Amino acid sequence: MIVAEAKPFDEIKEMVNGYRKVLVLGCGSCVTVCMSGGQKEAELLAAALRIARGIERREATVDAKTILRQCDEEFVRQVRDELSSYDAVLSMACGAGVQGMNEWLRNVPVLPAMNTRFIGLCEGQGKWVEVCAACGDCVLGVTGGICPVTSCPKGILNGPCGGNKKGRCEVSPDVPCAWVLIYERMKERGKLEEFKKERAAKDWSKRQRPGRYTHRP
Amino acid sequence: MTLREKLNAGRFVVTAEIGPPKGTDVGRLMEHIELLRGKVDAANVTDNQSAVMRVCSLAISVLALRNGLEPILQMTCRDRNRIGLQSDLLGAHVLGIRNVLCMTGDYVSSGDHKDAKPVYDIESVQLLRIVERLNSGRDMAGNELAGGTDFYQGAVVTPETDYLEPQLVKFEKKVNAGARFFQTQAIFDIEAFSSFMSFARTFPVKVLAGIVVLKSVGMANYMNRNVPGIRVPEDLIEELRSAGRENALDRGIDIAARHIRQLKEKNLCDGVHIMAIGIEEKVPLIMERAGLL
Amino acid sequence: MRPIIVPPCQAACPINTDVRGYVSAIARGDAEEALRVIRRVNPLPSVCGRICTRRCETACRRAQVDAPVAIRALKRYAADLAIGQSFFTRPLSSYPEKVAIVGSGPSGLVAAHDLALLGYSVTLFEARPVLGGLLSEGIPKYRLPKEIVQREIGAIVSLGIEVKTGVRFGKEVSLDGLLWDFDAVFIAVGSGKGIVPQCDGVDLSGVFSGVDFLKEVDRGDRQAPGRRVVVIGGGHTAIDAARTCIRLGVSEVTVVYRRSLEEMPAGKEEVLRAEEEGVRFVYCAAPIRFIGKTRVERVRFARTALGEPEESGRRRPVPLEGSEFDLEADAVILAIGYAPDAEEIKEAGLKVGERGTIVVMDETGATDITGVFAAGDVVTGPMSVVDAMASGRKAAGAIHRYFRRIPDNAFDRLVSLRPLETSVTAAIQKSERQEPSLLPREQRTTSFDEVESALDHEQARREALRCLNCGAGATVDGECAACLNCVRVCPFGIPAMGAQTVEIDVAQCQACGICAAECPACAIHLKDDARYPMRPGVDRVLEKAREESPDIVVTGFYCCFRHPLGPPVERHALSWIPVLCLGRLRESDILYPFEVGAEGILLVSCRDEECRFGRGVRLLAERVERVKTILDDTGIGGSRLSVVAGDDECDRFIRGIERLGINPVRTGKRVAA
Repeated sequence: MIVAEAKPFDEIKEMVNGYRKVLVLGCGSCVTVCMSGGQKEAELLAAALRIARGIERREATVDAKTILRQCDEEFVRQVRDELSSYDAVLSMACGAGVQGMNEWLRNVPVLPAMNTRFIGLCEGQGKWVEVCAACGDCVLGVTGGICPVTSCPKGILNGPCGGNKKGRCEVSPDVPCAWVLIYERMKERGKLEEFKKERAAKDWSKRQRPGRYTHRP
Repeated sequence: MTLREKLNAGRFVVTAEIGPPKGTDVGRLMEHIELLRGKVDAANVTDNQSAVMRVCSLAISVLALRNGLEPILQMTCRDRNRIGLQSDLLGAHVLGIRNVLCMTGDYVSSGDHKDAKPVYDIESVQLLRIVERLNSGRDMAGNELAGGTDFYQGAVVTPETDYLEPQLVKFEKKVNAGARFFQTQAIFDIEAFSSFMSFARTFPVKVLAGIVVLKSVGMANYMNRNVPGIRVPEDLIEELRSAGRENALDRGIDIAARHIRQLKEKNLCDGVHIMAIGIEEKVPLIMERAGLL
Repeated sequence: MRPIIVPPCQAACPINTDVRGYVSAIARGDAEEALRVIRRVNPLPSVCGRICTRRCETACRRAQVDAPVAIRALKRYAADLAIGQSFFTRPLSSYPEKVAIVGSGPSGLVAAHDLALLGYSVTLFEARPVLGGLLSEGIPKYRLPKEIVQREIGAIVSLGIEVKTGVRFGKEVSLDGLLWDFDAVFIAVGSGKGIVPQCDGVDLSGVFSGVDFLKEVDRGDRQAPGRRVVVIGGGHTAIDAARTCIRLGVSEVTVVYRRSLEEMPAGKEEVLRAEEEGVRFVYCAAPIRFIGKTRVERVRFARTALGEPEESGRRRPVPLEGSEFDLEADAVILAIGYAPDAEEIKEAGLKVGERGTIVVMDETGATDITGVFAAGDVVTGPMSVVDAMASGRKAAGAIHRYFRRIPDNAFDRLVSLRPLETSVTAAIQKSERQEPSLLPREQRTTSFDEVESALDHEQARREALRCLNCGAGATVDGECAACLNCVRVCPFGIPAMGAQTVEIDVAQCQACGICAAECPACAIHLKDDARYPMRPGVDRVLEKAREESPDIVVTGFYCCFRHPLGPPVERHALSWIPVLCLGRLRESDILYPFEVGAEGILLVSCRDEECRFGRGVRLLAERVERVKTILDDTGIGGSRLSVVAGDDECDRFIRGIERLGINPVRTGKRVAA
């Protein structure tokens, strides 16, 4: 799932400064699941903007709404007329949603309220962790299902650096060393021989941007 | 004799470390070179150590070489991709550098440009593989070189880490990838080190034990708390404490010298790598007390 | 018939009172709303609040945790605040049909009430000089004071019901006559004739019917029937007669029942009260002969054993041979049941059933004579007051449908929620049941003063807060993004992933509201919140507060579980909103008062470890931090929001707000934080 987080409030406020009538548009998919951009957050941001604008004695029409997905034209089309009555749409979707909306809405600027962060997993209520770097060259099959490209800050493919202390990562001591986890997992599964194999440098050409995927090339 | 020749000849070698300056003033650096020349067998030139931006290790290595101190060029994977690394390696070789120490490198967050984008296109094992490749006359992509290299490449290992098993696997990978010599992270427990060495001795590589001079009780405690892979035993800390604040450094030098002597007498390893951070000028004194001068 | 799932208490109640509705209103301190909920279905709430057989409490799921909610006492608490006050008025337009109701007991009264409110002309016929049937003459006043009955009846009659007392069915009026004058007749004359056992000596003087005895006492015609009285029976009438005897000064009263205490219809609590007052009980004994010359001197009993269960489900008592024993008595009160007066009914031309009851076609109470309906004891034999009320309600509905030609299939079928799972009951905080206080024993044996008093305000609030709000919990709508956040936060582990969306089992949900407040899709709704939406509540409170305090208004949200008696402190500038656990407040709820101009917001919650729902307080703290950040960002300032504990802190906070001044949203000036 894509995890995004709201931009700092001041940045958002500044961004919509020039627009009178603003719609905060939540996205009902990934960002709802990660709690940062669903209807609840859209309502809260809209209220905060109304308050801030009220204090500055500015036009305070800031509404909130959510659609199921902002990254597909068909969903956007259903609300195009309604959205067109606003001077700007403040999208709480990921970068894909914001770009799609701009493409399909044309006459209304769609501004990003979020910083898109990563592909992640929930690690307890209200907490997400990045687990996939979308590197295009998956190594999970040989690393016990734990991604060193993502979970090791240095993306090392051949085992831990000398920096782990008590199994924690040198770079972020609050997270475990990915390679310690991989080692434990592979030991548990009796796959240490696999662990000992040298891994060649990654083929980063798979990560050439913009990435493209065609289902039936 | 070069470092490679001395090690191959079975001589007990001593290496030290010199850090490139932050800025173009190399005055103090030159003093250190002067101090170490003729005493140590070679000196590591650090590569933007701790991710703090400094003069590149290649330039300072050349400076050392020209001034009669054999350099070991440290290369990390943090700041250059595979193209940059290979290109710099070739350049170093052209300028006469033969020793290279391959490392992954500290993360940018520990340095003074924390918002930099770290590269890590490849890492230590793969870099060793590249050097091996260049030595064979080809680049990483398999292209033939107009003149290959003849590097003596080394790597690092942390024998006193609190989680040794995967570290040993990585040691083996580095050996297989072409590492000829290893410099270890600081060791303080000779007994533990000797058990590591009985493992390392099964591979055809030279091992230089890392020696860090303890300057005070505070420093020892700080390292125990914060520096990964370093474990200063309680009896050494007690020894420093008993010497009193004034004489702690002197006692630290004694401890370092004692350890070196023990390592050499017991023939535990092939040399030592002295990391005298901030007290580079004390290196000759340590060597003297260790009976190496 | 549509099945409608309701809380167990509501399903068990013969008139399907929205118990949860009024109990939660009492919990919030809104007794008026509680009374409104009660009166919607019950025109005799103060009566029921005293003598109802409370099947609701038997069904109450709180019993799975500790003890059932004291529902009857709560009803009395709310009802007594406005006895006899009219809540509803006759509709402006009315139907032309006229209805005669014969008998003014609970069944007739409810039918009269309902039909009057539907817009029919109702005339109520009563043989006695006072209305109320058993309520006025029969249930002793130490349980049901007569002025209470009369005031509630007065409110019913004030709906425009014509009353004709002293008119006996079959004597002063005949069914034919009524059918001539009215479009429909509802017969609810009850069952006033005591059943007499078939044994020797029953005709001796000093042997009489319990129903008659109680009626006579209520009419003031009765003195102590003797020195040693034996009461035979195990129902309310038996206990009532025994306790009445005590109050009349009888020195020795023994109740003899043919089954054991377990089977006794009167219930253990009644027995306990009687024992406290000095009544003796003999179980598993049946009379076989009354002995005496002209007046009874003693009664011979046989011990009984309990045999096969009979139709009622209770085991049949079988006399044991050779177990006879005698009890001396100078008076015997028979309270083994009563039946309708079959003669009256036969004379009217109605079909008479086995026990002298009127035979009706179905639940609606329609008899074989068109336009004539019957219900209550006269149809079923003795039933409880609330059952009789329910029968009157059904009959009224049937008469309305008969007039308006509405098909008869529209009854909703109420189905109770399932019992709580043990995993849920284990997570529910225990809480002691509040009991009404009782008159001291010595006063009970010498007077007819009411024995049980009402709960006081604090008791009522505390007791109402024990209600588990069954079925008022969370529902999930189609906006659910299946994020599983509710699954992760629920303190009771109830939400679970369904095929597409999360499902919350209405039977288990504890209605804490935590999941709804955390739902990022706003897809979870609480039934309670639909009834009492937060924002209009805040608007109302703020508007009122602004009138009184034009400069500074502080909105306070307080947890009802922590402060059951109402706001923790009363201050001029402070306006309060009660919340059942602040864990249900979402960030936008906390922010909203600022948006509409409040100067400050105070939150008074429980201590973390005391939270009724375990983690409500902790989650609230996280949300408050978030809102403070938003307040700082927007320019209002986070220091205008605070979670506080004591009075001192409230005052300090208000002083702080006074220093900060008017909410910049109102003035338009950004105030430095």
